[in-house]
Amino acid sequence: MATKINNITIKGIRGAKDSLELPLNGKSILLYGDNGTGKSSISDSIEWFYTNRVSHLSSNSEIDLKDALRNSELDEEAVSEVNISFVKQSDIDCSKTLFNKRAKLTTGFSNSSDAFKQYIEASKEENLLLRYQYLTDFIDNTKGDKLKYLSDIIGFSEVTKKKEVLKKSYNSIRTEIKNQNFEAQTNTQKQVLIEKLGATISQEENLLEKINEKIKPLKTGIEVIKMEDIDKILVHLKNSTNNKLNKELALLEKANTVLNTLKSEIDFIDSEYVKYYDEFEVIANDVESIMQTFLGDLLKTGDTVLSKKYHKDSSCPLCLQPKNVEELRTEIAIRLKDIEESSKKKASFDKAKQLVNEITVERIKRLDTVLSDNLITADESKLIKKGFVGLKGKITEYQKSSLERVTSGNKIPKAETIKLSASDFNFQNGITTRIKKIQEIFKKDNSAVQYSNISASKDAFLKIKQFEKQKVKLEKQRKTLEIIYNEFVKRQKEGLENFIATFSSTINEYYQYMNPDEPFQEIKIVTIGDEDELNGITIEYKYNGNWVSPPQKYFSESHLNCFGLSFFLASVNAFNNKNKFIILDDVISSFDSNHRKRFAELIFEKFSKYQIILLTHEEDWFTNFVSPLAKKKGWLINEIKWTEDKGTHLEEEPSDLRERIEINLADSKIENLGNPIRKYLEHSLKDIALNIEAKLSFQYNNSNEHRMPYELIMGIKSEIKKCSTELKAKFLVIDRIESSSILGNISSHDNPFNPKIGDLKAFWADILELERIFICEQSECKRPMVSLKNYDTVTKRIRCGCDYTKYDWKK
Amino acid sequence: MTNQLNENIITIYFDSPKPFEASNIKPLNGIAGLYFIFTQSIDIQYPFDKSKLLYIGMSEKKTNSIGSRLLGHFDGKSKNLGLTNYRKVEPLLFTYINFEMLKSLWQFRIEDLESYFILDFVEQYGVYPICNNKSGFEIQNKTLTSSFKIDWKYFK
Repeated sequence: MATKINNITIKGIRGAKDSLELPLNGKSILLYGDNGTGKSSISDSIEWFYTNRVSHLSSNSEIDLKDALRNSELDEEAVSEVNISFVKQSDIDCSKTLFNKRAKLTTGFSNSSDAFKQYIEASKEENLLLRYQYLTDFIDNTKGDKLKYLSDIIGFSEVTKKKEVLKKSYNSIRTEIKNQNFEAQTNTQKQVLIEKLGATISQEENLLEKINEKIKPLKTGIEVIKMEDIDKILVHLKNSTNNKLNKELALLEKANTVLNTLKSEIDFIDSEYVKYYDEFEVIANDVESIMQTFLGDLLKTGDTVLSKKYHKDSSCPLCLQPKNVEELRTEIAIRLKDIEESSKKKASFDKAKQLVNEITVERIKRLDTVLSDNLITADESKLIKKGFVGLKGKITEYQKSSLERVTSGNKIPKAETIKLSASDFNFQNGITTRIKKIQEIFKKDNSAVQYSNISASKDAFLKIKQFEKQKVKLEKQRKTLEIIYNEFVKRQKEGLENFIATFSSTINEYYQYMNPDEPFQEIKIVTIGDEDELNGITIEYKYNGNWVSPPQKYFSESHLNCFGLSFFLASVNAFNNKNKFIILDDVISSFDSNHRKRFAELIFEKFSKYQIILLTHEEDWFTNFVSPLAKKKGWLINEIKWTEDKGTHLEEEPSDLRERIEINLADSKIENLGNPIRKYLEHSLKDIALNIEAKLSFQYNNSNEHRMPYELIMGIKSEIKKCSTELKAKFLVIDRIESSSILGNISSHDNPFNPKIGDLKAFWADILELERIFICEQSECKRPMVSLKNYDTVTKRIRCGCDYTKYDWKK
Repeated sequence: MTNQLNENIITIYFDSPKPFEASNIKPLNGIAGLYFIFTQSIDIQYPFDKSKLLYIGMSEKKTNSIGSRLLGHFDGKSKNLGLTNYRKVEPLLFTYINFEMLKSLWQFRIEDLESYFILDFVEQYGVYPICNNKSGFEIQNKTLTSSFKIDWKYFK
């Protein structure tokens, strides 16, 4: 359901010291207020209600915002409040309050229902408010900022974040595939198979064929048809072999395999380390620029402060040294560009560092498979243990380097000083010699030889299969992520471009409406970026048939503002699903008279279905152009005033007040009746008191205006008692008003009071009856108020202008 | 090197075939060795027997790897018309041998290994594989310390 505002009440916020009420009942309103009357109290209150911030007050610190929001003349205990009720959606009516709690300003919503929470969340995404300042800000933003602005309002930023996560996952799988070096690991196992079975094997049928070939002379009577049969043959052969030697041989061969793999990876490890070393050197020699990357966010924020004109002086907002703001922004842009370069360098460095670290972790893990073998502590394994510990030490050197912080000032060792060398593997000779020795012993026993060969081949083969599986799995993941990522980027760009095409045509439509017959045609926004990366958006238009960008080139200030306004209105059109109201705060300030006229026409024609709160300080435009149009379209029209006593407030005519009360009574909207009835009664009583010259105690200036109804009734009664028998006979109705519990309660602003609708209706009827006593009902009566100004000195009667309504009166 | 090598005959079995597609070729960057391109179902009638093998190729160094050579055949940059046209008829397959694996057995250059394979194929099938336009390098050292029994039936 499209949401429109029924009523807004603002109390103690910004300029509104007293209660400032906009009884809209779903209608649009045109509000005029001279500069300094506090028009923006309305837009600030609504922005705060929906977003918890007021952008032009620079809400970096919430505490500052709260202080700035609260009317400065309020007592400490007073509660500031924005109350908004909605047309036919009372379930989301809510007050947002700002009050002191333990000497701290605190905010709270009166409505904690899920319906309201959902509504306020949905509204945060919508464009509800436009101020003059935003118009030029958007045009002046950098291309990247424009993309961010547009991205934020269409939810594109969230999508971009997801894209980054995908990219990260994709890169981490690629690194893992490289780190595992499956090709080298598989090769080592294949070499084992060549050695043990005399064949390059990676398929099961080839393995089984070769094993059958090898066991044929042993006449075991077993044929190896499937993998499980290999175990049968091993059990058969094991019975006739030396178990202890077999175990030793298994460890030796395991150690040999690990060493062969590591040996084959010397160049791989070295080349990755060299890459890392070079990156480290580049960064270490330019730590300054890397440190600068940490200032990136600060500089971006600084630029925002300047671009949004939060800091208006010609000085640096941080150190306050005198500085031309434009020059400062140029310098910031140069520094940010440098930082971007440094960030790229750092990302490349981080990647190299991570890979070296992962490589070392994996190699240490492989060495540990031998070092954790039960037999490693045996005397005959001393040599292996020593060699492996030595190698682990060397890999640990690499690892230590990969953990060195580049900003530490420490150097990391050059590749040649820590590189694995052939001599590190010298101890492997001892291993191969021992293998040969055991094989010599086994040679005398063919069963033992074959047991050892088949057992080792089976292990090697299973490892190859395991590597294949892991590789396929990782490759699949990589491919899937690649497809998802590419598709994601494509869709993201397509989606944005489709949207932008439609969006551009709406902007152009609004713009052309406000600027007919001008040389700027086909205004549109366009994306900047290559195939898979979007960097920003910019604005283009045709000027005398040629494409022009950026718009500042030929646009006057009025044109730029028209564009900004068109952009906002197109955003309203495209994104506001929930709310059907907008607030336009002084948006035509810099428009020339022609643009102002066209803007008003655009609003009345294209946005007639929206509820619009249009605030302006342009008196001429208000009086001579918009008011007549607004009146014709059934808008409410009012003026905002400011007095020291009330602060920002609206001057509501009693006739409007009366109409509002009667509408609310008819709709039984009790919550909106108390204050208007009090005001109306005060107004009536003051009128009566004035016209019968009732005597009240002397008060200065505004205090005189603040007479409470009870005091006025007493004054009126006392005067009537003295002067008129006929009017005294009418005391019954005045007494009913005086003694009504409603009068007692509505007189007090702070009293929580819930009258019944029947009581309110009766009370209102009494007020109207009171009015009928003192106001002539004859339609032709020009001065209907019964007044001493019309006193008949002959008959001694107080009367109205037409002499129809009159009472005896002794002067 | 070990007891098996004394027999001096090593059986060369091939890895399971891979579809001749860019995604399977890309991971082979940086690998030197031999590669074999063959059909899925078309039998080539060679003088002595039928085979599906079309081409035996070689990458002699890691910078001009099996990956980049195969990619050259895949995108047609190698100008091997036979391979291009067979690929038009049906999707092809390939397999490869990483030279690192045979390094300890083969003391010569990769080029010699390629010649060895091609000449062995000629011996078995009577002619060079149909898409090998040249004979390959002559084997420089005839006194080989090891010899291979190549599992050509893989391409049957």
